[in-house]
Amino acid sequence: MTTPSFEDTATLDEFFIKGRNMWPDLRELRTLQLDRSRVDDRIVRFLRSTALNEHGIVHYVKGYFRAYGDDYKLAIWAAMWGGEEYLHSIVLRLILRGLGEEISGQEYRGLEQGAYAERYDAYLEGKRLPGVSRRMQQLVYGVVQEFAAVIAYRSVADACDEPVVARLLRRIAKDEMRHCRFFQLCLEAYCEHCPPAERALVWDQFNTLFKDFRMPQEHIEMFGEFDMGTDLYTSFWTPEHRSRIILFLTRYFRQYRQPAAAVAGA
Amino acid sequence: MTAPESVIAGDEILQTLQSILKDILLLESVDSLGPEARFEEDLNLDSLGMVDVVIAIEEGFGVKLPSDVNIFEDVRTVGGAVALIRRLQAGAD
Repeated sequence: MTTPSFEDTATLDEFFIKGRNMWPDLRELRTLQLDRSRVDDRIVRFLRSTALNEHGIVHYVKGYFRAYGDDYKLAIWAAMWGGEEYLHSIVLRLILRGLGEEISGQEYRGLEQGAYAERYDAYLEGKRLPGVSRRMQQLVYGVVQEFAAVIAYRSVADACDEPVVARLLRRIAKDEMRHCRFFQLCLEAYCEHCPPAERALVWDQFNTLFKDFRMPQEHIEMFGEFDMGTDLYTSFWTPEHRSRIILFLTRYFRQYRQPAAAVAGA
Repeated sequence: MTAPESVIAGDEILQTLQSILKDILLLESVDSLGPEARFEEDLNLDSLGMVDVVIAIEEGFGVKLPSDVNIFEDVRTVGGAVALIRRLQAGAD
C-alpha cells in the first residue's frame, strides 16, 4: 500500500468549498447574449475545443484513478476535479450558445468514443523515468498541465475583444490555478514520505515532461482531426505568456533540484 | 585611461554568464556566446533550455527575476541577459 497523500480531509474540503464559491452566478450565464462580431473564429474554435475537452473529463479521471492506485483521498480529488472541469464545460457551452454556436452530436460522439486510455498511458509511460512512480509522475504532470491551462485561458482572454467572454475565461483560469495549487500540495505531501531517491528525481521528471509537453487532448483522436489540439492553444501564447510559464514552473520545481555534488555523492 | 566601472562590471558579468552557459549548453568554447547571440534563434534553446537560463541567471548571480519580466524580450540575447543582471544587481544594492 502506498503512503496516503493526506492524513485527513481538510485539504480536500478547503479546495472543494473554494470551488463551489467560484460560480455563484451559473444560472445567470444561461441567458448570456454576446457580440459574435467581437469574437474571431480562432477564439470560437478554442472555445469549442475547451468545451469538448472539459466534457471529455471522464477519460482523464480514469487516468488519474489508474495513476493514484490505492490512495483514497487522491481518488476523491479525481472525482471532485472531474466535476469541476465538467462545470467549465457547462460555462464554455453557455458562452458558445451566447455566441450562437452549438456543439454537434458528432463532436460529442467522437469525444466519448475516443481511445484515450492506451494513448495517454503510453505517452506518460514513455516519459516516466526509472525509479519514478506512476503516481509521482502524474502529480508532476498535473502541476505542469494545470498551469498550462491557466495560461491557455488567460492568453485567449487577452486576445478577446468581447469583455464578458474575456471575464469568464479569466475566471476559469483562476479555477485552473486552484487545481494547479492542489497538485503542488499533493506532490509536496508525496515527497515528504516517498524514498529520498525518488524525490531526487522530481526535477528530472519535470524536465522530461516539459521538454515535449502536450495537452491531454492530444491523445483523443478527434482533437487532432479537427485541429483543436495543443497547437491551437499555443497559437495564442505571446512571448510574455511563454515567459510566465517558464518562470512559474522553474520557480516551483527548482526546490526539487539536487546540487550536482549531492547527486554525485549519493 | 581606464574603462568606467559599469563597463568593467558588465564585462565580468558577461564572462561569468558565458562560462555558465557553456556548461549548460555543453559547448566547447564561448565563441558562440557573444552579446548578440540570441538564445532561441542562434543557440537553439527551447522552453526547457530557457528554464536552464533562468536558473543560471538567478543562481549564478544571486538575483531574482521579477515575475512580470518577459524573458523572451529582456533575455532574448546574451547581452540582454547581462543588462538585466546588471539592473537587478544594482536594484538590490
